[in-house]
Amino acid sequence: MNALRSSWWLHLLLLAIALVFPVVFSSPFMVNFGVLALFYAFIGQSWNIAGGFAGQLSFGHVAFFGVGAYASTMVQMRLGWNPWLGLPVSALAGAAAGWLIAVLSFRAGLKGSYFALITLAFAEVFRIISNSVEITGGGLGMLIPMKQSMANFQFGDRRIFYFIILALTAASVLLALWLKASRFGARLAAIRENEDSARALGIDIFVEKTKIMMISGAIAGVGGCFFAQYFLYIDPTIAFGVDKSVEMLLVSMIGGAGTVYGPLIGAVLLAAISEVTRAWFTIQGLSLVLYGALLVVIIAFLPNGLIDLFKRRGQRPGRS
Amino acid sequence: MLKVTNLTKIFGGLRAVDQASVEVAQGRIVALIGPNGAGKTTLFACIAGFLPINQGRVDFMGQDITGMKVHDIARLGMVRTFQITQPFAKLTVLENIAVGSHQLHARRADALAHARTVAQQVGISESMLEQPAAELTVAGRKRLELARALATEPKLLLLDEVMAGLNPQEITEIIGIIRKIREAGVTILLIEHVMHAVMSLSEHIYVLSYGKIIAQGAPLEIVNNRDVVEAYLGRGAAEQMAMASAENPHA
Repeated sequence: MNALRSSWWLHLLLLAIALVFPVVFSSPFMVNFGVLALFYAFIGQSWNIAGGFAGQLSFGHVAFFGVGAYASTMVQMRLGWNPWLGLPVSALAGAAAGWLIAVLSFRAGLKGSYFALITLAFAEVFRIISNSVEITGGGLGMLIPMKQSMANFQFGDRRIFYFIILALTAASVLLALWLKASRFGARLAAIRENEDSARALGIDIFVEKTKIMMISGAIAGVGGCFFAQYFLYIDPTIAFGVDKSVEMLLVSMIGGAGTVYGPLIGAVLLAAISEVTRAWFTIQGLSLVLYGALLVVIIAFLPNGLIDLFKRRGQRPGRS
Repeated sequence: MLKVTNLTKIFGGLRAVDQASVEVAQGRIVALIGPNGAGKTTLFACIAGFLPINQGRVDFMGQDITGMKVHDIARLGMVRTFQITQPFAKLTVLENIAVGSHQLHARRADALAHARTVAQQVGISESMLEQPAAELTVAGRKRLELARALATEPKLLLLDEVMAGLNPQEITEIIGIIRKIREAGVTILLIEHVMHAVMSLSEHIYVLSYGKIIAQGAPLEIVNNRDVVEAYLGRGAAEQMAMASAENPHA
């Protein structure tokens, strides 16, 4: 991990800031803001390692998020499992969904915008299924009964949620750093840049793309489990709504797709915009309007994302 | 090492490659020439597994590889370059080559070190290594194609017009590089339009015209082959040339 070695102080500094944040800003509003920012960063990173690193642009990444949210909530509500078990269950469920979508679309040779559209279709299919079968609670969704205790993955002190999502996000950053400095990551970058050349050099693009979709799916799935435990409620629109797909993709693209820290920068900004607009205005969805406008500006002036502002001049794009 | 038997590739109603048979012995440099549109690149794509073939078979090192996947063929040791260069545009030159190096070197540091030595071998200067591949000149891109393929440590290299678009100086350099690659033990099959390069490099030549192998032999035999001259210059050209040189022997 060269990147980790050469800028370890930067990583430590960021981690220190993140650790101190809820101690300094302990009001529920600020803690909630921190949780949301980290949550967006976490699911944004999930999109980023598939879309940014491997070039598999998905427009329905919420499918993995929703499958994870439903899987963890269902084993808890229907089978009576401990909620903590929801974390590995949601990771497996997300990976399985990633495998299914990857195998079906990559076998059919879908690339680029066709792949984006098929992922969108899958997310919609999952939404409709979860809306119409009984075991998911249908359109009513599922309400996890409030019973705050450590063993129950519910906390009166919201800061514990903050530290959990911080640990998850840190793990996702480590994964991204590893991808930047490993053979697997080099192969993904090759696939993103030119699939024919990658094949000619002996890369099994089907296997590599399927692997990254499974990893990405697992991360988004865990994000779904966390979300369900944090809000104690999911329904088909929350779990499989297009807006979350868009948010995952936007935090990545605005911050800088294909970079390690892009999703974090984008996520802090998205959380800030959404909290501020919610506090000051009553118009629903205004945050996405502002965010869309911001995206236009950024594509025009910083096509590699906000992370370019933090880079020294002369450094080349597409790297972190 | 490579044996292509009666390979046929049909696009719609067009027989792009028609019953072509090609053999490449270990350690040789063999050239595949022919007029534009003869089907040379198509034949390459069929051999390397990029296109499914309609008839025939391809054997590589005694193994039937017909219908095998591109990456499996590449891992066996047959790697092609592209006529229209296909760099990983946003990656640096070094990272591009390292993708090839990773085939045999799992660790990142090893792959990068190996990529540096390969870059040196093909004459890519140290200062170019950190540039994005998209910023390379034509000559640089051709070298990068070669370096990337070479980095996988292939047994057989299929080079598709690595000299097209280069100036005479660059061509001389790349001829030297290809010779060195062969001396290092790599067998080479190349498509080329630069005739003096073909003549000075190759020991055996196949001529493809309208998808058919119309001639094969040593370079000198090919130059004097009537069918080959006509394929390039049109029907009757060989006779006219013979007449012209009879009238004016000093021309």
